[in-house]
Amino acid sequence: MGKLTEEQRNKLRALLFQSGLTFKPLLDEMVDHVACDLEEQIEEGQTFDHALEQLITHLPAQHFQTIQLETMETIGKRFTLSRGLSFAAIGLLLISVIFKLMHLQYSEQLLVISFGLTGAALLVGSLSGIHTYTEKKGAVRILAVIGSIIFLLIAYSFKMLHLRGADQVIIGAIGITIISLFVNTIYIHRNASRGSNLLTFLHEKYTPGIERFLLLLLIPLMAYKIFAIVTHSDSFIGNIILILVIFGAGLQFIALNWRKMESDTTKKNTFVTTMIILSAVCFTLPFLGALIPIEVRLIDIASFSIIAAWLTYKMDDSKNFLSIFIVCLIPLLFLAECMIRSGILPATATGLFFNIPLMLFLCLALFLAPRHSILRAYILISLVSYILEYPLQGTFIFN
Amino acid sequence: MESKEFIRGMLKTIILRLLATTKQMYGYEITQKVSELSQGEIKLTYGALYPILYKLEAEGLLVTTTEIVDNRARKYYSLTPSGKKLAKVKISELQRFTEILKTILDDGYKPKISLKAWAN
Repeated sequence: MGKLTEEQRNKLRALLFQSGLTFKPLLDEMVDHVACDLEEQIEEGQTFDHALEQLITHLPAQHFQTIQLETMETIGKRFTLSRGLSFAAIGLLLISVIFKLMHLQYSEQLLVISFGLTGAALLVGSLSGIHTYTEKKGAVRILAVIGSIIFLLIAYSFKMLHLRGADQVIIGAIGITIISLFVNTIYIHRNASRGSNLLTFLHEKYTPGIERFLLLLLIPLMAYKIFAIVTHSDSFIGNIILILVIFGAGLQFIALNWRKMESDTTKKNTFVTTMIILSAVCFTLPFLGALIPIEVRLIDIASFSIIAAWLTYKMDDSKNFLSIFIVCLIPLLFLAECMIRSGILPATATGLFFNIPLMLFLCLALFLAPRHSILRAYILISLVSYILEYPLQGTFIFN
Repeated sequence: MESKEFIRGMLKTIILRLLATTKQMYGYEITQKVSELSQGEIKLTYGALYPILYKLEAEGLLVTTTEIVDNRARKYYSLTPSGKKLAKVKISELQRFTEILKTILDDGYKPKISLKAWAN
């Protein structure tokens, strides 16, 4: 009585598959569950088609697609196109660095392809999120942030391939970055409500992946830097990757602060908003490189380290000896760098602030900091900047 | 019941509780049982139930077996030994929490000290 026929089961299965349930174990289970619901309705006198239509009508749009997405993320088995592209990008990036260190051909070309894959991964991931969570707001703001990263990747590709117009693309990328970070910060200040903002919602979902991506890059970059120090060589490619990791970690830092503003309204005020905007501007401007005077860049970096230290202390939940020590130490290091390069401190002071034990301490602090925390993002930016500048030389690498 | 966020927060404990009292259950059965016990107040959606079931399974708290019933693959969930231990802890925590909540809500409407005493 009321049991579905094979034809009805097949129709149901095809409908669920078309609705986005492509993961077979979940599809099988949902077929059984929905079939039970339908059989209950049929037993009450409804026809199969009417019961099915009623059931589908009462479900939110993309319900099954969302279930699959959430289930896959929960069990960590999601292998999306975006994830595949990002793994391919990391792989090519590592191969490119190895090629460069071994003085083989095509390292620049491999890196450019890797940048292309990174941009594609970001675009696919965000478009998939926009398409899936249509009820949430902020598609344009997300695309602006992603666009700024893609522009920067294009700009550095132009530089590596010695193409004309690299500076113009960098100016465009930095302009978009500052505007998008400003608009997003103001939006969150005015409309801080957890869950409705697509940008912070997607960031929360992708945070483990973003952090893993940046940390994975850090390990070979450390090896590259040690190699560069030992052999007294300095590769442009290695430095470009370090700069891009700083950029990624900086965006991660700002996004984590946005999320904190949304989740804890006691931390949502005009002063915090101003500090986030200031930190975004100070952080972004040095990426213009030689387009702005070195003194301005040095002041920007030192200012960012101080403002970001304050934000870390204010916004992060972890307040212990390590976090307090870090937020005091890092601004001191970057202020010292600024003063040494400006001639305020003698060049002999370099060894006091830039040395192996301090670098190792920053590495250790990075792994001791809580996962996905503002503190960890702050340490990551600082450590990579430290690695980039180490050993402090006469020329400013950040260009 | 409209307060979906309350249910989402407690769903893990609800599922552990149901499975602690029954040998094994499948998805539809869980939704029916919750609806029955709550006298129709709590109706679990597919979207609320399945991500949690898969999460509990991934955490090693649930184990599954599949049987063919009415020509359909039916997945049954049951508690693992660690799931049983956690169920006890979670149920106890939730019971204590609801007692505290009840005390707070009851007391909120009956102030023990009258402010009038200060005025006099």
